Order: sequence, then C-alpha cells, then structure tokens
Amino acid sequence: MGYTAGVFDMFHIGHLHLLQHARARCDYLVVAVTTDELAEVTRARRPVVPLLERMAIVQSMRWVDHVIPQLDPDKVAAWQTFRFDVLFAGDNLRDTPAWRSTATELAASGVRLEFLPATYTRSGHLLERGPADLVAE
Amino acid sequence: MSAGTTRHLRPPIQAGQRRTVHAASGRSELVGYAPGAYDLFHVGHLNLLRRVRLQCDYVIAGVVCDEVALAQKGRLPVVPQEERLEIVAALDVVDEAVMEWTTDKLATWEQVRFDVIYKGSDWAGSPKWTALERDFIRRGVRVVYLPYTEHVSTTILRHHHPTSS
Repeated sequence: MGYTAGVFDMFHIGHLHLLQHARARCDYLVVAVTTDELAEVTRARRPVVPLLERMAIVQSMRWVDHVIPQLDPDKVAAWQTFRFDVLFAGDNLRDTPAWRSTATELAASGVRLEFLPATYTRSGHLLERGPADLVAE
Repeated sequence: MSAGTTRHLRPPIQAGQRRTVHAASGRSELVGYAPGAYDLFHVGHLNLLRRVRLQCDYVIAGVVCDEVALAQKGRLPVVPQEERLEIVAALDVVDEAVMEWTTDKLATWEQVRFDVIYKGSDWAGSPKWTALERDFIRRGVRVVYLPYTEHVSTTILRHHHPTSS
C-alpha cells in the first residue's frame, strides 16, 4: 500500500504524473488531500479550489484507490493509522531536514520512502507547486 | 477501505437475451460523447462527465485542440492540448478521450460514432446547435443539453494560474 499527500490545487498534469508514478509502484494508493485550513497554515495561503472539489477530482483519477482529507501533516501519525508500506514524496524534498527525520522514523517501522521526479509542462515551465504540493508542510 | 473509486459494472448479457444495437454507433453499448476544451480541469467538468456516465455505457470525452479552441473562443486555452487530453483520459468515468481536430461536429461523428452528444445547456436554442440537432437526428444521434455547474469558474482559475501573470 502506498501513501502520498498534497494540496492538489488547480489539478494539472504534474499532479497526474505523480499519482501515476506512485500507483505504478504500489498496489493500492491512498492520497491525503490537504484541508483548506492546513494549507493556509503550511503554505500561508488558502487554496483556490475548496477541499471537497479537490478531493473529488483526485478521487476521479483511475490511479487513485482511496482519498482522505489531510488534517495533520505528520506522516508518522498517518502511518500509525494507515500502515502503508511506501510513502511517496516529490524529489525536491529529498534533502530537507524535516524529511530526513521523517524518513528515519518511518524506516524504523519498515516503511519505504520514495521520491518521485518533478514534472515539467511542454513549454519546460516547472509547474507551480507540482511536486512541491506533495509537501505542503 | 472501499470508498476510493467509482466503478460502473454492467450486468452480464444473459443467454438468449438480445443485444440492443444502437443505430448511430452500431454498437451494443450506448456511446456518449462529451466535447469540450476541458481547460484548467475543475469539478464542473467532472460533474458533467459523471452525468454522462450515468446515462451511457461507454463515455468518450472529446478534447478540442488548441487551434479549434482558439477559433471558437477567441483565445488559446491555458493548458496545452496534450495535457488537457491526458487529464480527461485519466478519469475513471471516462472510457476514452479523443482529440477533436475540427470544428465540424458531423465530421467528428463520422470518426467517433457516438449515439448521444452532450453539450452545456447554455448552447440549447442557439442557431448552430439547433441546426446540428437536425443533422444529428438524421444520423440517429440524440443531442442532450446538460446543466454545466461551474463552482469554480475557469475565469477564476485562469486568474490564479502561474502562466497568467
């Protein structure tokens, strides 16, 4: 079972590719969509699209098996609830201290941490908050 | 955990049961076609396709190419055609997504062969679609107008999109 989280505001191709890549590396993908309130705290601005609509769109993707709202950014707490085997995150986070400590804690519980590549549009423009969405924290 | 996806299973055809053949598509499944630009994909698009899913056995989304969108709306979509197509094709309520290269809906029908075409209710009664209705009826195609629920309008999304500034 795989787990990933993000805001998924104004759903775009970068989000889609992340979900596709994640689902290709697990058999059941749980996606936590950050609540408006949490996004406001962690990203200092409210998402353009409200939570229920963002959840509806993520849930309508073929590669997503289960969608939940993300109320708490703590991935270790999420693991205690969902007991996933793999945690997916954007590869721009690889070297951040917060992720290092999360990775260490989860590794101790036997959880794999996988980083997925950033996605670019046709024009080569890095989509705003594409993989960074997977952080939100 | 079962609330994740939507699956639409059809009852199996029983032995001896007649398969309905739909005249326009020539298929046993009722084929619905929902054309649009699907720019900056939002829940209004999704709800429209969900309604189509409820009424048809096989859902084809038609994504108009950049050039056609430009001709019809006077401006290019924010999201390039390949990305719009890929996102719509990724939806579990859509069986197939096709790129629409022409403004001629009858030419599109020749290629796609659908039984029902869905259009936003804002087009009902327009001269173009009234004429199209007649042309489609002759081919056994129904035109159905659906309410288009834009909770978050494309205009607002366009305003917030990183490429808009």
